[in-house]
Amino acid sequence: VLVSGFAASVLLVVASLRVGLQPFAGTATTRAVSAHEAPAAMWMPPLLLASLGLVIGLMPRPLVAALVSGAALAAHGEPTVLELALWHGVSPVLALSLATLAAGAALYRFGDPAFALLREHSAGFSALGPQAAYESALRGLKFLAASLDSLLQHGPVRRRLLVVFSALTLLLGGVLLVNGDATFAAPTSLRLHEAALLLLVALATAGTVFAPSPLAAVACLGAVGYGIALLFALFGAPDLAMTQFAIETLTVILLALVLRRATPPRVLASASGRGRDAAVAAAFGVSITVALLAVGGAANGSRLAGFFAEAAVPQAQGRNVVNVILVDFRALDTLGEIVVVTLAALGVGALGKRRASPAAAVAAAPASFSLRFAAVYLVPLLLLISVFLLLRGHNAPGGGFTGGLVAAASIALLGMAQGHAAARRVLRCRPTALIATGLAITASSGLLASASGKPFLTGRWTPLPVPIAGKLGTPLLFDIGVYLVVIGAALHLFFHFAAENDS
Amino acid sequence: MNIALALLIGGLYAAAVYLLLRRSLLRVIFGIGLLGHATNLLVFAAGGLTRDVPPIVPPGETTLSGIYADPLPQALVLTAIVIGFGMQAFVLALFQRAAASNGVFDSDALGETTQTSRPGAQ
Repeated sequence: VLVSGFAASVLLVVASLRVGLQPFAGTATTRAVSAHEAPAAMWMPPLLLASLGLVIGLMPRPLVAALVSGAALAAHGEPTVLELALWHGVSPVLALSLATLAAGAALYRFGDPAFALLREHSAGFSALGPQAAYESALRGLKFLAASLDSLLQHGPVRRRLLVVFSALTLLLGGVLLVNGDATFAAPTSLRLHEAALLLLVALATAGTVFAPSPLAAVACLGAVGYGIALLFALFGAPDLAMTQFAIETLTVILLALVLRRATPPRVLASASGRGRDAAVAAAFGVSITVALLAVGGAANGSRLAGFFAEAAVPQAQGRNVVNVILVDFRALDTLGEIVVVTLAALGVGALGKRRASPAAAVAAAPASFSLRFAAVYLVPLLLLISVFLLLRGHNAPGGGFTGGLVAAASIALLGMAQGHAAARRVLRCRPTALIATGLAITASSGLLASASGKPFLTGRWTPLPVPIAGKLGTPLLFDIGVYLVVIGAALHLFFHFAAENDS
Repeated sequence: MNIALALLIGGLYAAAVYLLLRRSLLRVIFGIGLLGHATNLLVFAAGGLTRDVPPIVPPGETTLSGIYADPLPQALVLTAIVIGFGMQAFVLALFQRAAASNGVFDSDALGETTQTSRPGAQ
């Protein structure tokens, strides 16, 4: 250890002399043509290190004693008492240091021929060195990236999707084959109305694929959505059913607005191409079905269900557990999700043309008499229902999402019956203003908890019930914010597509 | 019931994937819609199904007891439905923009115009 340490130190002295002295004392070379002062970021770190060395050398004990003894303990394996000072007196260690310096200086002065010899012979050696290994690894990485790229990212989007879905099917099927002992769930009884509903959704799905015109496909897609809403209603999810009904209505309206003038899609792919796509799609569907059956046999219900079922009323004062999860236990997720919806709506607005002139919006085609007549009575009623859904959401099916969607659908109904200008007048403000207000309300309902020292978005409740309204709390405020954001986003989308397609 | 529903979800996925692989952008839009439906139903069904018992604590009691539908997948799916709507609308706006700016209804042509900006690719 002593000998190799000595040799390394000697070489270090040579290197430092070369770097430190040669620029000032050596002969000038022509290589540094554009020499200039280094920027601060380059000379600051060495300066810092050098001044640290000086400071620590002058008063070693308070600064580094703990550090060095820790390192010594780790290296030596037992506690070592260290004496740190700048001057220890004449000792073997000092003599060794002096010898190192002398040998280094001598090697610097007289060792040039030896170094030249070494450089000549080390050319073959460096082919095996770490630098060569590093460079060949980089080359390999580049090659790997290029070949992966040409496999996955070549050509049209749909060919990439084909690769993705094929790979997904193989992975899913492979896992299922390896875990061959997955127990499948015992089949439960199928009631007649459920079978009819499933058949309806299946037929509507087929209709979406094979529909001759875009509007027919929109109608089939809507039927799929309504069928799924009924499934939600049958299997204990009234909140989902209401949300799905409202969303499906709005989706069909938007799709019909855009696609009513679109031409039927032409068949562009060859028969063999269609056959290949159908095979990939069918294999993917089969693997999903098998996976779902295998999963259904393994797990029944989430482990968290019990916690939510027990904590909803005592901790969050709500009887509708789904709504409690949305506005209290997982409120931060919900906040993120309404921000996503906001971004989608604003992004759609940004993709559009310049705002159509208000005159164009007024000149919308007149709706049928019955629609105009019905809207007069239906819209106020629907708005009232939406507020009712919002307020009761914490204890019964409903809530901000559902209520907001119902309100947006009612304003959209008004827009279709009496023109978008009338709908805008009823709204009295721009949809984006609703979005902003809603986001501000949700955020401030969370900050109320922060103000009283609790984590962000903790539910805070009035200690005593307020007359008529019952107990009030920040989760209700949060849900009102969600309600406003959903109305604003949905109507922003509706007005955007309505204006784009009227002109 | 679970076998029939699993078959339906598989069918929805197959239809969605087939439509996503079409060259006609219109059908890709419908494919995205079906994909959203399939995934919502998958998340809802994967935790097991319960008939008729929503996770709502009855008045006068403090906890759910007996058999009740799992509330967690429902909360996940509820927000997914709304986000899927936003996504669908965004795709629709993209479609409209592509159709309005250069009359592209073909996903292959779309890929070429955006990647290499080759003029006149349609």
